[in-house]
Amino acid sequence: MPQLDISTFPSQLFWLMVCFLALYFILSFVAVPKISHVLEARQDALESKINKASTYREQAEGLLAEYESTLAQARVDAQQRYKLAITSASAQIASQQKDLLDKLNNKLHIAEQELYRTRIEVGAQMHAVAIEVAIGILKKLTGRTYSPTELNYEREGA
Amino acid sequence: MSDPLHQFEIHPLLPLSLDGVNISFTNSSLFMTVAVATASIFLIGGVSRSKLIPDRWQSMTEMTYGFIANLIDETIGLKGRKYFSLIFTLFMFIFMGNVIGMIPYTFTFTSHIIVTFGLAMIAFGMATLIGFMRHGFHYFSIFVPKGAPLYMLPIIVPIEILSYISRPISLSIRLFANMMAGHTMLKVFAGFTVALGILGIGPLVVSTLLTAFEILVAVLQAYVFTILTCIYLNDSINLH
Repeated sequence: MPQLDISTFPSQLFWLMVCFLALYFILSFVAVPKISHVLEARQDALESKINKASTYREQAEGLLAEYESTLAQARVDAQQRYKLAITSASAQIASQQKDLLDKLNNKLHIAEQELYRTRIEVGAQMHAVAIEVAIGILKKLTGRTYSPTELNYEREGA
Repeated sequence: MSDPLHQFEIHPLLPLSLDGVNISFTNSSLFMTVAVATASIFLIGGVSRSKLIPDRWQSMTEMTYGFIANLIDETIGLKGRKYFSLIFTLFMFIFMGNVIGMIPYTFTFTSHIIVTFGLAMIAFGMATLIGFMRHGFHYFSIFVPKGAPLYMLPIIVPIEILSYISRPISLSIRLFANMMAGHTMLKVFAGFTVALGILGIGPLVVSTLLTAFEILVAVLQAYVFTILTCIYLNDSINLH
């Protein structure tokens, strides 16, 4: 069994030490720092990306809140304007209605006055017309032409 | 039929000696060097043109790193981060040694007990040293289990000491035996395939399945060695 050949032991142990130490120094001074540096760089990159993402999200949330408050503000504003518009419009409608009513009343008044005046005028004329008609009737009945004064007199006399 | 143990033989490629001790550069040393080079290229190459979104190679590198980092976090906790490089080196070295050894005509240096023992001693020595550095003399309390009745201590303490000392032995034998047995079995079935001619299709199927199984064992044993090292280290860092 070659494993038990003691004469090879010093050489094997010597080269084991040389190779092991060589590998140890290569790994601890070159490979391990390099690999851990790569892993750290990746970790840092990931963290910075995650941080960036979360700041973006915060910004987006801020914008959303801002948008919502603006929207709410706008709603309140719109409601106020609507109320204002409604009140002003109804006031205008009321005043216009009143104006119209006044005008109509005025016209009615004027018309009534005219009617009254006309009635009086007509009433006055009626007398003359009646006399004339009576004169006509009398003329046909009696064949004599009566003067209005006569008629007035007779009537007063009868 | 070829000797199934022939694959474990060590040949010097470059004879060297230090103070009369033979430290020749052998096929074992060659594949240790290959393992070191492969591990370095795999880990450094993966992140040399690093991207935010990794490609396949970079993902594999990062996953290997993350695998060991997780293992340490789970078994030791945050205090274990300091020893990451050492545990990572241990894992990569054994992993590469086992996996490269699965390639035909290569040499599996983890199939030699002296190598696995050396690795186990690194793990064990590290755990013990860290234990004494962190807790000083108080580290000896690791041999006294919590809640044990006083009159049991004369029996329990020697058992605990024995189990503590056998840690590197069990660690090294587990890895060595797994690797050697697997490779020997593969070689035996491969030998049958050659010897049986047309009937060799049977052992060929077996050795194909065994190869898949051995790749699993190669990865698993590297993992087992590492997690046990982490558990021992946890004992030294957090005592109990």
